[in-house]
Amino acid sequence: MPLVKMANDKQIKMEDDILVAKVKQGNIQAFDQLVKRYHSRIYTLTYQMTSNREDAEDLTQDIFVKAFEAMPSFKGNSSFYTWLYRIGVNKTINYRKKRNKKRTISLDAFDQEIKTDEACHGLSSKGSPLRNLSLRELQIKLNQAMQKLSEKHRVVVVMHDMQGIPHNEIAKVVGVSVGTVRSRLFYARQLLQSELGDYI
Amino acid sequence: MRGQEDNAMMSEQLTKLLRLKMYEHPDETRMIGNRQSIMCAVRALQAEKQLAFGERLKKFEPRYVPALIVISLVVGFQYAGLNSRHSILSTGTGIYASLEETTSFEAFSTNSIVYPNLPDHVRLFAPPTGGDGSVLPAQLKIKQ
Repeated sequence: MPLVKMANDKQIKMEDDILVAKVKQGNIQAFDQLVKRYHSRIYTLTYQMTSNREDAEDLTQDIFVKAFEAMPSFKGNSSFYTWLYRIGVNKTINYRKKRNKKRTISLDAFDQEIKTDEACHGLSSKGSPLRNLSLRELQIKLNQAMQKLSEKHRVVVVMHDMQGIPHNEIAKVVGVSVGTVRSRLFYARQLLQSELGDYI
Repeated sequence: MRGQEDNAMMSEQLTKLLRLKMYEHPDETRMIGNRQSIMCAVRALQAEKQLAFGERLKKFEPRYVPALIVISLVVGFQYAGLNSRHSILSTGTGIYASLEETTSFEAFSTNSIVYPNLPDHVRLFAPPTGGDGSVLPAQLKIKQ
């Protein structure tokens, strides 16, 4: 790991610790800082898990409110973000179970940067079976296939393939062994391949 | 061999496809709104926690106030009475006695009478004077 990144991580952790201590003393502004800092990442997790922006917004709110309520019990054994992320994963996994909601898709628009991404460009290049589909169509097919996975399989795909989190970190957050993470990932990818077989 | 190659290619295509998700970005105004609603919920929660005692009293039903006063007076007097009895300066005679004094009392047990074990049909005591199980009140006879 580069030294600059390590130093940055330490700096961020220190800042978070100060903010957490202030929140514990009843400082709301400090919590606002934490929300600003991690809102986007938590929203991305919930959105990628639900493929529904309204659900993702509701979940993001629930996660931060839960974190605020549970703040007195936060001992600082892990970083604040890891702790928050763990709350996020658990809440998201239980979300549909509790509400028994039908899976609907409501997607965010693509960023303009996608046009400059070589990998994505390759998807629609000549010779690719995806060339006849527009990006929007691909997005819908992919999200539909993702929603066919069970929560425990989807979460490992989201964390590993979309957020780039290593197996051992996923294992810690989800609370299973590294071997289980690998096998879930393998199984989930197999399912996705069979779902998207006509397009890839 | 061919199957393995196909599988590897599909896996690669899938990885590329999954990359698409990284480019889905939310509307910034919606995100600002979401952050505001989070802070709104958090402030409401905090306000609920910090609700002062006075505020709670304001919310308290007025009809319960006299009952509360009576209960607090009773508890207060009880506490004051106990304290005075416990006090070293107290000269009153109470049930509280020093350790030396307690040794002078003979311990006795009210449960020292031993009753014989009798069969169920044998009554240990005579039935009440009513005969039907009822107890008649004691009568006072004045000698002329």
